[in-house]
Amino acid sequence: MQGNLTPKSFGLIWIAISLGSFGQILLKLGLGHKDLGGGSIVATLTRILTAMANPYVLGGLALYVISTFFWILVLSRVRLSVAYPLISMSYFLVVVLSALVLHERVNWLYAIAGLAFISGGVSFIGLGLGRAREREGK
Amino acid sequence: MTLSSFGLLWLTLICVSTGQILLKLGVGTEKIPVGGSIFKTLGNIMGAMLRPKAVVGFGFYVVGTFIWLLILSRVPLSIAFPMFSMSYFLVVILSATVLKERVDWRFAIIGLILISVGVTCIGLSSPKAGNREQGIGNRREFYHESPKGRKPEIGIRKKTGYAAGTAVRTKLSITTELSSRSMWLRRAVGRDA
Repeated sequence: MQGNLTPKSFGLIWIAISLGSFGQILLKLGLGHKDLGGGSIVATLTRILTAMANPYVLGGLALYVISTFFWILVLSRVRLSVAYPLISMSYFLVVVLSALVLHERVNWLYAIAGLAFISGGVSFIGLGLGRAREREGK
Repeated sequence: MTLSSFGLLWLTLICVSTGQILLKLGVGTEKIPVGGSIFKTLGNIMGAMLRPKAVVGFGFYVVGTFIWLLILSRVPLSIAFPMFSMSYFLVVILSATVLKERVDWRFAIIGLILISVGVTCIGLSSPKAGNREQGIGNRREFYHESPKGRKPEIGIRKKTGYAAGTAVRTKLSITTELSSRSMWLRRAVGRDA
């Protein structure tokens, strides 16, 4: 049946998830801890654009764009009810990487509970969209 | 996560979701062919993005990304990224209303409730407001924040567990101490009593 998970599309999903997550980590690494906001909107925008010249930020944005292309490939092959639960894995990956790479302090009790609820919710939405689409016969 | 960061987050979500909807409207129901080589697919995707509504949608996306960078410069990634899942609220509602896609509401509503509970948990895990949020959890920030001429108080850091908050909190407590002392002085003099 079309839209099922094949090893190839599973691989594509993991590529998309890891590229996207590492992209976010690079963004945060590049931005550091300087608040880009404050002052006028023009000043803020200038600061954001300047921050984008940072190689980490550029790399992060590039990974983000590449992962989007992989998502488009994935979504054209896999049913939403299958793809969405896997998408939510990126939330776990980003939080774990923030703790490991960025040394952010994570309150694991709340984080794991929160992430479990979020991925459950995302999975449900995927199931709902998938069911509605199947009924339409698409 | 302060209220203003939360507001900015919703602004990003609105930009990105509107962008998504416009992209979908622009690309239309015409399927982008994905067969053949990966470069051919890439070319087809790029081609589809040149349609007018898709270009505007892409613009929204870029604005959303700018605001996202602003948020990331203020909020720890482990808090901000899970909060991004609130985008499903807008995606589900906008797909149903604007794109007239059929949504199985029982599943959608359960899903959205679960996401809200999850985001609430993440929000609760965020260290309390009152200390400057962007530095929380990063050890380096502590040294940046420590006032001149003061040694970084590693002992306190270990005790409280919040690297950046400590320095800021120390500063704050000094200020409050000073102001309360001046209050006490004024009271002693008999002005404000």
